[in-house]
Amino acid sequence: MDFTLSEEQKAFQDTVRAFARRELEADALKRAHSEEYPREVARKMAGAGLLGITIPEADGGQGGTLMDAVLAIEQVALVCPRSADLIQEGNFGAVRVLARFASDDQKKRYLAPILSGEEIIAVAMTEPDAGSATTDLATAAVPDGAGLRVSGTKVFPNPHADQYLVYVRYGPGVDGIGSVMIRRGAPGFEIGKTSHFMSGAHWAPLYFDNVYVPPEDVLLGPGGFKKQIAGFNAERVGNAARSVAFGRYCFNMARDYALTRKQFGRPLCEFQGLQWKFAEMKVKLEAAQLLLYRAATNADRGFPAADETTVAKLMCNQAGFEVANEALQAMGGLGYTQETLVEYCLRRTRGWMIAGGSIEMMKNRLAEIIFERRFSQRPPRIKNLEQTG
Amino acid sequence: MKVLVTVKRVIDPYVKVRVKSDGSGVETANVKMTMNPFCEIGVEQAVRMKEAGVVSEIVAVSVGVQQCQETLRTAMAMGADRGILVETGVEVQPLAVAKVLQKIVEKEQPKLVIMGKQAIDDDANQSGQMLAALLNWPQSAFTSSITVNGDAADVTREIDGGLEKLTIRLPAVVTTDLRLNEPRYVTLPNIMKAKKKPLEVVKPDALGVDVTPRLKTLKVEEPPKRSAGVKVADVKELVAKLKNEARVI
Ligand SMILES: Cc1cc2nc3c(=O)[nH]c(=O)nc-3n(C[C@H](O)[C@H](O)[C@H](O)COP(=O)(O)OP(=O)(O)OC[C@H]3O[C@@H](n4cnc5c(N)ncnc54)[C@H](O)[C@@H]3O)c2cc1C
Repeated sequence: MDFTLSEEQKAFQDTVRAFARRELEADALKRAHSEEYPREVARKMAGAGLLGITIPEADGGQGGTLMDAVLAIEQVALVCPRSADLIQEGNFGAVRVLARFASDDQKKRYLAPILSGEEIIAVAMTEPDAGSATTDLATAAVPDGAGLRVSGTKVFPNPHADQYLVYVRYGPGVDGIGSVMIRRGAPGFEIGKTSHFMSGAHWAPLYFDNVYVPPEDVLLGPGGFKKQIAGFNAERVGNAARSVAFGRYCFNMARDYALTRKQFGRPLCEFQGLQWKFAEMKVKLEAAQLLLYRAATNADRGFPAADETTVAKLMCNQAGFEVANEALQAMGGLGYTQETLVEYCLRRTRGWMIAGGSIEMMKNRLAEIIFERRFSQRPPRIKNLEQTG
Repeated sequence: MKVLVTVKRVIDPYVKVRVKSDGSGVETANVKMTMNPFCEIGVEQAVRMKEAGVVSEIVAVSVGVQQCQETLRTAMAMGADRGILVETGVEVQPLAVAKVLQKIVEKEQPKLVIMGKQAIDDDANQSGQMLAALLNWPQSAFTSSITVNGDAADVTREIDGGLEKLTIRLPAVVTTDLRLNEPRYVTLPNIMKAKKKPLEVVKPDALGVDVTPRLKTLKVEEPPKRSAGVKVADVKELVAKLKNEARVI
């Protein structure tokens, strides 16, 4: 087993670090606290070859591996946490599904503008009555001529995106789920009132009222949901990578602080009570990062295995949050202010314990992997009948 | 035309440099290294000239330890066509570098040599000038623009008094200043392509150059710790302090 990065991986890490320092570092604080969506960062990243890292060169990507994308998101997160979101969107999320399943024409119209940094994509999956129970989603797609009419409500996506990958229901059951592409501004598509997440980022409900989707904008037909489930694993790797990297960001800040801040006439790093905190933080970060690297390195054509991804996401989400929390504590009052991004990272890492499959859902999934059995989370059928009958 | 660009491996400018406990130098073990930023500007310049059709081949050269191969790979990922490492474990000093480069130039016959004006480790600012002298070629140090016109180049130099515009005959040695260009970020596909580009390793002996250091470092020390400053009330007090206490005016 080899735990060292290859020369090429190191070279790529170096170039991303150089990019982040030169282009992103100066405004890192401002960007995290800004209400604006940092679109200009996407364009810069496109210029530096940081979008579509795992996508084949023929499709406008960089032809790299999922591990390369992980290295990139880490290096950006360590310098400008907010900007790591753009790496997520340009590498780990819906773009992977587009790259794998979109037609050539769809790639031209949807994938290309994302990879050039001109457009932002978001996923519209969660609904008011379908959160962890994703497959309960009810947004309906009914045939209309050659195309479809889509009606329903989605919650939590980025309201500033140009294009939405919308999960829809063609018919009953998991096999009835697929996805379509809908652009901002499509007739009948309304973006509701903007709200804030705890992180400060915006979200808004999306209302689809009989929105016409032409046949060329259907991404996956009935049964498509199952086909692209591996795409969620790629997304989870990005989510996990940011969790650990944000934890490390806080760790680095707190470490520097403990070396210089003096109380009782000596630097904080000389107090054993803090030394042990740092030792524990280091172990958490490294353990999580190794699990993440394992999932990313073993990924097949950019799609990692479910078990390794689930273990990695769970561990990284927890490690990232716990380290951010301890680092904040080690920085005292300053850690709690908005003069540094430690409190921001804490708020962000908290969200990833819910988004992209909650901690609890990861554990449910692991139970199924461990016992090699499916454990339905739904109530037993008899009870169902009683309730309805 | 063929261009030779030189690249030096130095401590990453973002690393906090530490002096070795025995005072013999600065710590480089397990320290992040990178391409000297002025060399990066040099490589970028050569690549832009190639993209503009002025240059047909870019050869990158580094003098130093085996790990300089990484620095050469970066140069090739930026767009250099091949690399030459003159490998030596001894501390390379400007005159030795200039002598090594002289031999490489005689062999490669480039029409232009682009070097960084200085390396950010020792800040010596000598190798380029020494190379030009050894070759008896024209030189333009601290260059902020280059335009090749046939057998000559129009250059702008950043000098103390402002900007100096010159036309120099080719072949020539040019050293880069900060404002010549903004180097590109190497992309993943280009890193992969660079892996396959030829990289030749030669020893100084094979070139007939003795790189034994001529200068001896007696001791390296941390700069003295700065003591806290004082706030002055007005310009008058400042001037008085500069005159009487600091004695600088
Ligand atoms: C920061 C952030 C960004 C998001 N971005 C998007 C986006 O871009 N697009 C989008 O579509 N959605 C997005 N979401 C929504 C996200 O996918 C859901 O929040 C998530 O799937 C959980 O669903 P829920 O919020 O409805 O919680 P619920 O499913 O209602 O869960 C509530 C609690 O119950 C637990 N729980 C539920 N079922 C079980 C079970 N069977 N066993 C044990 N515990 C269980 C959960 O773990 C959780 O703790 C985002 C969420 C966050 C926090």
